Amino acid sequence: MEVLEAIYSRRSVRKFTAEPIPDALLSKMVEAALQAPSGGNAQPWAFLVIREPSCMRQLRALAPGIIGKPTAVVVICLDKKRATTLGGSLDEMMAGVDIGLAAQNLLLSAHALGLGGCAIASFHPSSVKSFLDLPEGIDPVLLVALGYPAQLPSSPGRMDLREVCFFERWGVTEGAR
Amino acid sequence: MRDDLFLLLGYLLTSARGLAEEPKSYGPFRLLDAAGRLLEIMEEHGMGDDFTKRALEQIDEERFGPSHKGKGLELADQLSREFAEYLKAKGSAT
Repeated sequence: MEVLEAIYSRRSVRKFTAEPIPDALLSKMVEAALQAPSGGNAQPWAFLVIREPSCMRQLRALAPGIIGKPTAVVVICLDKKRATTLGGSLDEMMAGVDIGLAAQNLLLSAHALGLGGCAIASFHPSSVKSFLDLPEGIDPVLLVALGYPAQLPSSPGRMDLREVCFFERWGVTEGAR
Repeated sequence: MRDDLFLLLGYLLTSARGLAEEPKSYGPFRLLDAAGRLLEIMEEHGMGDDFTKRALEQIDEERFGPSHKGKGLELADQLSREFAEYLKAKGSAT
């Protein structure tokens, strides 16, 4: 799948079939996430892949944002030690950006591999951290629910380019060059 | 069934906390999703009927559709009315 095609056709998928995702594909998607740009190459992330159905059922109780029944969830965590490697006051903000970029890589690679996914921020962070035995300094930031799509939603729509993109000066939407 | 209900309890508790910081529209959606999860439990344990099946189908349309489809309140209104009719039809059997 071409990159632009993947970007334009990706949707947030929340309804999945029960077919499990092969481990090789899960590894491939996390590898793709690792290729995301990272400020100062800090790579302030860590990934925990949940595959066991019993664990998944329990995790859904702590993460209301998991709407359907995914067959895998990747918990993207902030590694605080790596996030502060650069020592700047923007470290934490940059780490959040990096994690978002990694999540997008994960979602796009899932889509390219015929899977679907959805990024989820609605979960109880301290409960998830405790339930998954995350060590000190490793905090869950984003969950990515994954599976084979049982239903592909239509596009929720996006703003027109002219509403949000300007050239040279704010408010200038077009003009001859 | 106890396990399913227990997990639903966790969902309700974590939702209660999360909603304080989430967009306002998530509130009705979260409760509709909770209703959907309860209906799933009822179906799985042989406690469903035509009403619960239909209600679950309608909730599924909302929760698995595009984000911010915005029909959550409308659906909640409609299901509430249908629920009232259902109660009336059931009479004292409920």
